[in-house]
Amino acid sequence: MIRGLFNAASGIVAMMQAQEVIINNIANISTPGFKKDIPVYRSFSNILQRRIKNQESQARVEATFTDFSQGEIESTEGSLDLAIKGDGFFTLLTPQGIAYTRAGNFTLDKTGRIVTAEGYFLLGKNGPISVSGSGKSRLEVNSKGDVIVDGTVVDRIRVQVFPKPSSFLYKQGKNLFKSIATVSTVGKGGTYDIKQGYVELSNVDIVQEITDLLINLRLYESAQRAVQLQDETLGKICNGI
Amino acid sequence: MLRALWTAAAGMKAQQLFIDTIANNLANVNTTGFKKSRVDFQDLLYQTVTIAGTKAPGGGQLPVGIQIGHGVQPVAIERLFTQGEITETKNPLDLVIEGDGFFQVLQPDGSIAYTRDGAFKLDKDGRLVTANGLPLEPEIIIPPEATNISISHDGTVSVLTPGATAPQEVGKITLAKFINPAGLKSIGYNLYKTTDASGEAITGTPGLEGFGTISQGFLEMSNVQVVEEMANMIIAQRAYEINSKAIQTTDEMLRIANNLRR
Repeated sequence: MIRGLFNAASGIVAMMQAQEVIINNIANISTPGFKKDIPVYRSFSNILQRRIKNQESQARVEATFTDFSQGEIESTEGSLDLAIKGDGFFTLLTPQGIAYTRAGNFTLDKTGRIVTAEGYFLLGKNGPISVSGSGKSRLEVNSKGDVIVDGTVVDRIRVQVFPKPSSFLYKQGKNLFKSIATVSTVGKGGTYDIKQGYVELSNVDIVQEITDLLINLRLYESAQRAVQLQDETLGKICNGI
Repeated sequence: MLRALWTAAAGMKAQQLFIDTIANNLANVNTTGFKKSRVDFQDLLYQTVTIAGTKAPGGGQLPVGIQIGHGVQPVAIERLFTQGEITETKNPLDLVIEGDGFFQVLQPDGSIAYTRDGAFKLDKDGRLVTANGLPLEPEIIIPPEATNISISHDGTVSVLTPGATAPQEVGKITLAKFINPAGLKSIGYNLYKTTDASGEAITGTPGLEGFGTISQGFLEMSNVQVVEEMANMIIAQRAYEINSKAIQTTDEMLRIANNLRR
């Protein structure tokens, strides 16, 4: 009896956690290269099995699955705005080591290295890519990621492809992803095109999110009713018999 | 519990900044030499409950983890130094730079500021000055008796004086460029100052090594595209709206939680 009360209450807690994940997606609707998270509840069959085996059978958010699907690509004219169409991530050097990003709004630092707005270096074949001394109007990046200054290739952008990014990458904030595995073990493959003068927007879909928000609210309400019904039943037992 | 509220509030604040930037771009749509700005956002820190790929309590490997984000923050307001539209004015002291260079002007405190606004005038001493009276650096003085001022693509200023048969050179305009112009600091009045991020100014002759050429009788308008800004304004407004809806929904959930015990 009391377990039913706890199980219904666990729904309330899980729904609030899902709400936090959905709202983070909404807050990042204008963040370039942002990938939305989807809350994954413990499945019904899993809960049912646990119930039969007399184990703990509460509802909960079991995982947040990051959806790495392509975001929309917007034209910006900036010569250092780069978007990846397809698989892969830009490789960055941060003070905390290598990180990956899909946010391609780069600038130059004062010595001519390509950096993010936070000052992290974009890596090429041999360390940070430097285009020093060039006027920015003559900087070109082709679809393979070759950085061309005045017609000569100076470096190639290191694009790291993860065949299953959701199993390897976790979010670090500041548009960065960290890998849990060393790069040599993640395998190769995947195709991509780099587009200069474009930025990849977030892949958050406003209609989907507002729908999820409303569904979540109603589920929350149902869980509350379930708690109240359990409470009423308990009340009957305590006072009615 | 209240985290969802703060996250949505961060989203609203970010969109407010987005609108502020759009408004400033639109207000300067007719400012000569104005360069539009753009806000760059990034996601905030994540609370990582479990990491994907680590060992699960049952012995297996977790295919995906649990990470809960805390919203969004602006990381930079970046100026985009693309070429603005060029309009013909036929005024001999209106100059346009086609390329990446900047005019250098001398400020009252003796420091140099940089501008793309080429609407120059003459002051009472015959110096070329900006609309705010700041003289061009290096100083160029037009003799009072000059009848015709011509400025060539490489910045050479020549005048015709009564009695002379050939134009006489009175000065040369030099331009400055930066490795990272987006790192310049705007100080208003169409002026920029160098910072540690922009790097030191590299000066040189117009027409060489990416400085851009100077054309006389033209002005560079702003590079603001009204349609683009309007589209961004709609996007920002809707994003603001959905963030406020997120706050309302969370509020409703909290109300429901408070009504658990009737």
